[in-house]
Amino acid sequence: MTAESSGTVTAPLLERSKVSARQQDSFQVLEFLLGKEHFAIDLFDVREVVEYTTITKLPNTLPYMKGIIDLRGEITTIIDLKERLHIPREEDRSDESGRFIVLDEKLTGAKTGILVDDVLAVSTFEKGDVDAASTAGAGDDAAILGIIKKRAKDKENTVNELVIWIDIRETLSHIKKRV
Amino acid sequence: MSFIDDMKIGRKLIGGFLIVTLILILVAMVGYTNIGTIADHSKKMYNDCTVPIEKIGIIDSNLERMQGNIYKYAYVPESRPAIESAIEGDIAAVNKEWDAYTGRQLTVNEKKQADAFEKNWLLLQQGYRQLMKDAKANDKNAVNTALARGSPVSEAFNAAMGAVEAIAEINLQKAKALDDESDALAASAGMTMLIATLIAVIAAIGIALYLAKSITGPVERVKQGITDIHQGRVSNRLNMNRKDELGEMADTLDKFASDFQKYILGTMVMIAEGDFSRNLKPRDDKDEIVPPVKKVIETLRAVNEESNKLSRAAVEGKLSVRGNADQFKGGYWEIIAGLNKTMDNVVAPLNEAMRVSGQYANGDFTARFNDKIKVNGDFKKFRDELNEIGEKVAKALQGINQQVGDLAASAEEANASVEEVSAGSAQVAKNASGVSINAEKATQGIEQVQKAMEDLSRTIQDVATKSEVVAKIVQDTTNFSREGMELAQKTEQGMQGITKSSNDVNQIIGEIKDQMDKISEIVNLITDLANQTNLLALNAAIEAARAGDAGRGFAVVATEVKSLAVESRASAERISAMIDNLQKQTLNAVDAVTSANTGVREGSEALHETLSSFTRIVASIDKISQNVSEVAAAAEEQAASVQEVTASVHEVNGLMQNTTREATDAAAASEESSAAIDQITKVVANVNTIVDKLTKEVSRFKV
Repeated sequence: MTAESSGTVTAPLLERSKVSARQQDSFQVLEFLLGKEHFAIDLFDVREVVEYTTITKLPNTLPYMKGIIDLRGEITTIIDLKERLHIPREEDRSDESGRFIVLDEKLTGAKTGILVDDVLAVSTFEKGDVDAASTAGAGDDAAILGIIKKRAKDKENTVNELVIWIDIRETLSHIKKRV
Repeated sequence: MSFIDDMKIGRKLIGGFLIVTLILILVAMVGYTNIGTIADHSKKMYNDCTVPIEKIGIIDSNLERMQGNIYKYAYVPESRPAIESAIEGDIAAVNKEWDAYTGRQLTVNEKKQADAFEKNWLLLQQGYRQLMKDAKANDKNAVNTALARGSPVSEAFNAAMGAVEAIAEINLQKAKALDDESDALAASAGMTMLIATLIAVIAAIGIALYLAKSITGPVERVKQGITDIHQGRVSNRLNMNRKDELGEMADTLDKFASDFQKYILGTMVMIAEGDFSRNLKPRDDKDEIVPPVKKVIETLRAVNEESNKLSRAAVEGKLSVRGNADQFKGGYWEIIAGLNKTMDNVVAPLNEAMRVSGQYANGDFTARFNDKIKVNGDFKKFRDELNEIGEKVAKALQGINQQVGDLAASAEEANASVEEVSAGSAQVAKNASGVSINAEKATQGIEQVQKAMEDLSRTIQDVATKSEVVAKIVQDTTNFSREGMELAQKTEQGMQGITKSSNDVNQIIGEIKDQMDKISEIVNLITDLANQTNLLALNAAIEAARAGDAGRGFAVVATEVKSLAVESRASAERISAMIDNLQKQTLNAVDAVTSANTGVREGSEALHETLSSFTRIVASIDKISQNVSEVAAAAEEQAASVQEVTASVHEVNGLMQNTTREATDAAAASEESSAAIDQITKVVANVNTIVDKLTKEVSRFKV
């Protein structure tokens, strides 16, 4: 329901109209874990999330090309995002406990998924929560869009949990070129 | 204060008067000082109070006159020129007096009032001058207004008058204060004078008393000293230690008393005690005390020497020596002549008595006192008794001679008999002591046997006693081992019970473990389902988001589903953790039960061994008990026979001791008699010797 479709403006409705107005500045992301750090990618780049299945390795590929899987009859390429972003691998975590985030086909032109440690939630943030300046110092290759300050309750205190918002298109642009 | 005692009397008196005069001058000075202070106060009062009051009075009267004149000036125009000059004169007079007043030192209150006056005085002057100008100009209204009640001019006049009166009042009070102060000062000055006079009088009386006492006291003491000497008490000394005339007098008196006591009285005392050694020297030709005393000493010394010579000669037996009486006079001559006469009367009878005694001493009792020598008094008795000694001794000696002859014969006979008795008794004594020695040896032997028997008996009794103790201990031990055995059997039964219970526990724990495993499986399944649901919810959320506004409702549902899935997963994880914990504890329980079982088994085996050991102990103890009983019986038998032997030995010992005692008695008796006989022999021999000597002695006398 929007403010334009209603003749009478009641208090709750007014609130909602404000929310919808603000929606122009908000965006939705999918939060996931790599190691201990929180990452996020644009929700519209995501197709679906699936459980881990056995990966078939391909010979003579780049180190972050994990291999391929059979997803409901379609061959899907799996990218090890940790390897791609140079995040050190933890010894006690196995790939089997991870998830695949299957990406939208528009991005790469071929069916592609990324291997992450866990998928947490679909979240809505506002542009105001993002701090783009704090990524200064990271190289161009980092492809970080910004740092999202997510309010989380830690016991009684409200603390800002930092979520690294990456540009998955930029990150996987090499693959696109290759494909 | 000894320096006062040492002063001459004249100087002392003049000094006392001088001190009193000084005190009087001091009192006069105190009075003079106080009078000066009072005069100062009077002057101050005149300067500070009387003069200002006078000035203020003049100012006051001038002001009053001016106020009157101003009215006149206003309403009587023809008098104006005269009054104007009068007013100006008054103003000048007031200013002059005011300057004279303020030229002094003012108090704070005065200053305040003075300021008020000055301010109002200025206003008043201006008011007057303005008023006079207005009057000249015939401005009646202005004049009336200025003279009306409450106008600035009248206000200023009132204020100025008020200030002047206040100043007068202040000065009056000041004067009163000064007056009071003067009164107080006069009173205190009077008091000071009174006190100073009193002190002076007391000091003068004190000095007079002290001086009088310092002169009359010593005079009294000197008088007492002279009275003492007159009454023969010469040991007292005045010892005044003063250097004035009285002190010299007292010293001379002391010196006279000392000399008299030391030389004259001392010499008298020495003579009285028989000491004539003091040699005195006259002080000069006029000395009348020493020469007679010296003469007395010399005469006494000569008499003493003469009588000493006589007595020394008598002591040495020189009876022919006589004293020289002619060198003395009076009583002294009589002393020496009497001594000579005494010697003459004693010497003749003594010489005769000496001759007779000499013959007696040589054993010649036939000598007699010569009748031709004349004797008197006590000497007659002396002569008769000397003669009687000679006669009686001669007679007695004749009797003794005869008796001694008889005694010699009897002693000879007694000696022969005693020697015979002595020989017999010696033989008896020798035999008796032989018997005694043998009997003692026998007794010693028997005593040794007896001691040995007693030792044996005691040892056997010890064996018997100890055997009994051992038997009792063995009995106790048997009882204890039986009890131990019973306890061990009971313990074994307990052990079996424990084993059974722990087996049951083991089985139950196993069953619990199985159940746990099943629960674990179920929990895993739940976790799996929750994960799946979570994933589905995520995908639903993604789909909903991609669908845009159309999928918004669905997105809410997907979020709810996701949170449910997360909660179920958390619950399942908690259950899983609990189950893990339980399983761990169960495993611990199983371990504990297993180790308990092992312990019980080991305990059981040990108990078995203990039981068999106890059985063996009981058997051994029985054997020991039997042996000990046998030993005890044997020891008792032995003890009985030893006691019999001991009794027999005792009897023998008694008999032997009797024998010894009798033999010893006999020997002692014969020794005693032997000793008695020896004594008798000695006595008889002595008698013989005495008789021989007696015979010889008696034969020497002539009768």
